[in-house]
Amino acid sequence: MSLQKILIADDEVHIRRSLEFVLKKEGYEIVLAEFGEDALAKAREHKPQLCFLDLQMPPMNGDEVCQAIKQDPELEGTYAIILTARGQETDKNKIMESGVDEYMTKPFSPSKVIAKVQEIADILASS
Amino acid sequence: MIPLSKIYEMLQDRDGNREFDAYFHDTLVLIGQTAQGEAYADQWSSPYDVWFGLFFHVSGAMSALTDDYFRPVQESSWFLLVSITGSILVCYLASQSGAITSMLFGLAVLGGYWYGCALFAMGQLSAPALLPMACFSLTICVNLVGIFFLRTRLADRLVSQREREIEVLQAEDQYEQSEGIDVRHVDRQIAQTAMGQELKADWCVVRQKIQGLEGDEEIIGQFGEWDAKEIQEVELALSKRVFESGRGELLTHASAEFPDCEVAICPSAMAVPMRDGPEVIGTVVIGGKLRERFRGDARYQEGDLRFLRALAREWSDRIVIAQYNRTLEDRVHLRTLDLQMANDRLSEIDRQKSDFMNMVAHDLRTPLTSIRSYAEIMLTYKDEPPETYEEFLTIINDESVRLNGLIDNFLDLSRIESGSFQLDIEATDISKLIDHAMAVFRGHADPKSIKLETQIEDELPNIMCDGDRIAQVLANLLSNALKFTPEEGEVRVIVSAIESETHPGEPMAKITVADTGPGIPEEARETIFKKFGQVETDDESVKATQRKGTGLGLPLCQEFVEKHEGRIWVESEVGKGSQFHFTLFCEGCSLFQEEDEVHEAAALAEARPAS
Repeated sequence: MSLQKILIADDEVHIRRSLEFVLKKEGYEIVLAEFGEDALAKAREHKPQLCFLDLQMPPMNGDEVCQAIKQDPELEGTYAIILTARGQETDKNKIMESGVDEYMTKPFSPSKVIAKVQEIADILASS
Repeated sequence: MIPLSKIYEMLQDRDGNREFDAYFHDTLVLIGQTAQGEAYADQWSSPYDVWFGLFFHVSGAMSALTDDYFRPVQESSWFLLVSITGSILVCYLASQSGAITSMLFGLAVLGGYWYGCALFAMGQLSAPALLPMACFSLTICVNLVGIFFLRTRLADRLVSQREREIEVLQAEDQYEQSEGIDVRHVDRQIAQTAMGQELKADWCVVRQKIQGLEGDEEIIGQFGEWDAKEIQEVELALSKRVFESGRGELLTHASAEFPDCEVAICPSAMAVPMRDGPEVIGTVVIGGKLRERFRGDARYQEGDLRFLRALAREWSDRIVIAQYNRTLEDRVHLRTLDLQMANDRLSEIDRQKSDFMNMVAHDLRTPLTSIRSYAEIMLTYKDEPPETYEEFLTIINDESVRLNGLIDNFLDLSRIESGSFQLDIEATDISKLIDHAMAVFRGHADPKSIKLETQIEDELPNIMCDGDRIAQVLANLLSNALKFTPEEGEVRVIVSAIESETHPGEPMAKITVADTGPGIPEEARETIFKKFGQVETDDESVKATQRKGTGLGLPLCQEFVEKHEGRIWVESEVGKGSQFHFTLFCEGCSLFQEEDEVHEAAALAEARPAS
């Protein structure tokens, strides 16, 4: 499986835009979502291999979206990264329970995002 | 059966009849036990006893009436009189004791007894009469032997039963001694002594005065067989008397004063006070010696009262110490609870503070993320068209402004918390404030194709407000509305004139910011205006929803509006949208009259030097 499609879900337009810009430059196909429900619907529609999910997107938060994706048999193998501006250990443990693969705290550097995506692309390619 | 001396003594007694009954009762029990083994030990008698006795009585009477040898007896009216009178007497005594079977049995046995006595008296005892007479004699002998042994055994059994109770008390007492002296510990000691060999009480009740409640005493210990209604009556009366008089009370014959309290229930009772200095702090009432009645010593005498009084003095000291200990323990306990609560409160505040810091960090990091990302993108990707760079620079600029606004919010909130916040209220044209806000937010609405509308009532008077603060409130509400409204949605600002609910007749303006966003669930609606230090909920879901909210914007809006004497609230339907309303007083309302004058005066003062 190769990494082609990436879903970016964040209620902050500028953060969506910056990730979209950087990842498009790397040649990936990008799907954008503003709300949790939207993100889940688009994940089911476009079947991305990787999802960036912002944690705080009321009313449906990133961890809930992640849980739904992980439980959907049609989306099996989808990689999920939670983005959050909160970095406490207790939060992290709770988020990890949703079955998320990675956890990135804001502010993040675009170069780190590229490196992380490359890493995931390698994992997906080898599996 | 009954020694004559004893009968004489009983008849001398004021309530001798009752004692005689009790004695007779016991005897009947024992006779029943002799005849039936101990199977009926818990009953007064058994039906067999009745048939047994009736058999002898009837057979004896039949012989006497039919046998020629007894002709003189049959003709003797004296015999008949004695026999019938005796039977009726026994009947009466037994019926006074309350047991029908005992009465019948007594009638049968005593009838035979009198009959035999009569035969002897008339010298007519002859061979054919020997058979019924032998039967009577046998019955009486068996009864006497049985009474002798069983009386002793019954007495011993009662005594050993009481001793076992005392052993239990002692065992409990030793167990409690390891925990220091307390009141319960002392009342057990009292009961041990009262029910022990010296006083032989059947029951013992210890009462203590409740502090602050005049005439109301608390029972702190009840031991032995105190639960009969009659005993409770005696106990309460004696205790009350002792509390009032402060002196010991002795009831040698309980039934003399309490007719219901029969000898078989409680022959005798006494009560003594326990004191702390002159004050009566409690009473000890004991009664009984019922188990001693078989030995003819069921009454308390003056000597017993003196003994109990001496003991009470020692017990008083212990009760005082025990009470002191208890007060001390209570105080320590209360103090510990206080500290515990204070500690819990501090931990809760600490937790809330940490939540608050988390929220602050989150709010600050969001614009910072954009600033950092776009700056790095611009440094990394050098070959982009100039429009892209301009777009990114605009974002960096906007987000810096937003970051600055957030910091201002925190500072405002902190000033409000510390009480150093001041409003600069003046008559303001609300439509200008709204127009200005609209101009700023149109830039946010257009990219999402959100319809941004205003609807302001005509001829609305000026609003009494601090323009900068209300602009902040509007900006916060609009920013939230735009953030949560999806593309193609609608955000409207509506201003209408209303009348104050809290100050009837005063004009107000209601400003509404309505969106078509996802709406706010009911449980979150109550908490979105709360800020650090005010939320007291253990409901995790509410906390979570609250954290998901929009940071400090809404709490700040509430502070600002309430500082203007207005009200802010939200109406929302999940899936349809939310309406945030707030009210402000209009120019000309009495509430801000003074400030008007102050402002006018200030304006005049400023104008004068200029002119």
